[in-house]
Amino acid sequence: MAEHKPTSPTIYLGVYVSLLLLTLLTVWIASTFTLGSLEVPVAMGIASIKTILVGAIFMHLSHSSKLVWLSIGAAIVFLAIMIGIVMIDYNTRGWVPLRGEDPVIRGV
Amino acid sequence: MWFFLASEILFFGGLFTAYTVMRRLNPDMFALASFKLNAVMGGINTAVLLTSSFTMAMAVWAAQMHNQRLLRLFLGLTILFGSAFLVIKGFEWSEEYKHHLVPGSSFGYDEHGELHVNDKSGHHIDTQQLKGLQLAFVFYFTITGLHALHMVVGLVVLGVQWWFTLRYPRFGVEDYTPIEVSGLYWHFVDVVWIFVFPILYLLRT
Repeated sequence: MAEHKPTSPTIYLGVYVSLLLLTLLTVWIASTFTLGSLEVPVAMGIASIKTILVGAIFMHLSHSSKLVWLSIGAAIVFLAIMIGIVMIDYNTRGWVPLRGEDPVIRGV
Repeated sequence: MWFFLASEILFFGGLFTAYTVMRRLNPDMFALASFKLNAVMGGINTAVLLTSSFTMAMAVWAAQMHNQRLLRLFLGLTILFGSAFLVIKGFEWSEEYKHHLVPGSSFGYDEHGELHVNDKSGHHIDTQQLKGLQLAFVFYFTITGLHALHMVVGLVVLGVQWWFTLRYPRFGVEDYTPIEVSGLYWHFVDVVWIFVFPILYLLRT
């Protein structure tokens, strides 16, 4: 929250319009295409772009201190570890048969 | 404030992790739940919330410009759009209540005790599938409910600050930090919704 030159309203307006367009884009993609396994990456990719816009411009992360970056970066890293490792577990169940396991119930 | 937001990321992150695992185990019913939600209202609400984030950013700008009248205006607009979001959300919830989609002992059954839930092709679903669908709606109401609670907290904070601008002629414009901090919180709640909307409403396959 150090003193810095205020971002101009034009930039805020540009970000706002981009956010609305990205929302329309993600709704349009979801209602028009059947993407199958690409559905989640596309939707999450657009959400991430929107988040970066809000974070960098609205929340002034683009000119924030290293401490701010560190605290928010740490939270994101730990979130990635949490979701990543849990999904690695669920997605690999049944790859290696366990001794004495009934093959029919394998793989959740 | 950023440390608090870091803890909030992991709070909502835990919910999203649980949702991801349960969706992985019940893919069809979670997709059906998305199908049954009103994506038009959800989309409008996304736009309303993004608008409130824009007016919040403008409120911080007005504070930095030492213009208290503009600050009060933009805080008021943010409160207005934030409240509109909650009203639309309330209509959505009541719609889901009417369609017997609120989790509980009568989930999916109408007043006459008849199962009232169809799948995408109009066939009745069985009781096992109903359990999966109910789980999806437990997540829907928990995540949107906790998000709405965060909105209410934000509205109270902004309301107090709006009142302070009336009461104290230099509030916000002498030192813009309080406005900046409540703005960070408001944008964070917006970011949560940016993920909630596609995850709950748009993933249908």
